[in-house]
Amino acid sequence: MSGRIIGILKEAEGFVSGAKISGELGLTRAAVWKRIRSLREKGFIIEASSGKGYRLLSAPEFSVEELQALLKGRFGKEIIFLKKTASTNDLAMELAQNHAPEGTVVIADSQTNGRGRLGRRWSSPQGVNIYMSVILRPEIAPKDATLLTIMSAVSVAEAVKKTTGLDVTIKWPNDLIVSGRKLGGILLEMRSEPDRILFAVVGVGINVNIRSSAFPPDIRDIATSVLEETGDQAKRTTIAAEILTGMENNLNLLKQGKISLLLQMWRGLSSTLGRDVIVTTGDITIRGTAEDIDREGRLILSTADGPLKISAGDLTVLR
Amino acid sequence: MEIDDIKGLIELLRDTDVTEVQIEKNGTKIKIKRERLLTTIEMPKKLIHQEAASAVEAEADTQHLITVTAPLVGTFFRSSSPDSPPFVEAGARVRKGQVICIIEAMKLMNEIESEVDGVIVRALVENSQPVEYGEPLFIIEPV
Repeated sequence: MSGRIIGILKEAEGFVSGAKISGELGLTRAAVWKRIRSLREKGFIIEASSGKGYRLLSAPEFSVEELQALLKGRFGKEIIFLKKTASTNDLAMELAQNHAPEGTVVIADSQTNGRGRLGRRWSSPQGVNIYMSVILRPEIAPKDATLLTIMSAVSVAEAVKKTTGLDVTIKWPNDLIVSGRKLGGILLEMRSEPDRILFAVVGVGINVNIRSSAFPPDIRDIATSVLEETGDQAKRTTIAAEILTGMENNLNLLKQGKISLLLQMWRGLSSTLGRDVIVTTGDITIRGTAEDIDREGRLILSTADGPLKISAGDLTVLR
Repeated sequence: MEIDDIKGLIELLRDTDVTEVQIEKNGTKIKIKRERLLTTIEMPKKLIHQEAASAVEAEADTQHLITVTAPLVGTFFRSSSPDSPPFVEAGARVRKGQVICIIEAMKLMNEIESEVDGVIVRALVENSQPVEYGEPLFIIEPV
């Protein structure tokens, strides 16, 4: 409800009378006032003028209310925000198992057990970055599930590019790269039966307003943030809203079978194709040139022993 | 020992299983090694029938077992991270819906659930090995 008040105030770009707000939301004037007060406590600066009503002067750097006001579709109808959680993916997987609908979003201000591929740690300090997981229930076959990786990579890369102006590229399959450093990563988890996907969770981690000095020493030279790249603080709300809007649209493309379009979008954002790379998967290390991705999004590598298709592994682009 | 003695000995052993003979004369030490040499395998018909019969029996025995197969191409993981213990070992009891392994394809971790309550009879794939679509991963005996 508070999100809808913010929505009304944002749309108006001026004063809105208390009567209008209470009429639109079916609340008493006193209830509207109570919510305005609690929004102010959350950092919204709302001017109140007798006779004219309320006017939104500024919104905090991150808030669920503004995020919901920015979302027009199904994604984000339900947003669970936590100051601190172990891992947004863990919680989203649990919610999905308990029948949370598609588009349910879990966001945390910090994570105590943020993780990447194979249980690797994802640095998740408080108040600076996006740690967000989205529940999907795509009606596609499990063997096509890798397209979710392609779809989510495109959605997140496009959104960060659009909201920050940064030249964001994708390193196969779904790392977000700016100036050769990692700006963000995506980890998907999925439960399936042999013939259908029960649900999938897309976990997105983006370094937004973190200073490079605040990164753990082991990733300081390979990670970056929006702040480090642009020199400016960015609003997590704006970036998260764009990601969710884009992901809803792109998931619709996938459901409609517009796979070549999604693959084409991925190719356009890729900084891997055409490069010499090393891929490590398990105990095996393969060197080759990244030629293309196939219909499932697998990397087609031309090697000394002929072409190879790679479905999982750590990739390093050679200079 | 004379050459004729040796010839005689060879003649004597021709149609036996003896593959090695050691003779020490003064201490009278004799060592004879018998071994079945299978240069050609001719299986008696009776044996073949027996084997077929037992294969049928084995099949009947395994009919109630469930094979968990890979729903997608990827890399097979027996635990959630290299430091974690495997989700299941052979002999472990599993519940329906319990995660028994992960197949990763393009940073998508696909958690494979057991479809039944049962016991893991065999784990068929080693950790971090590539698996093909439909490849058998586990054999489970429903309980």
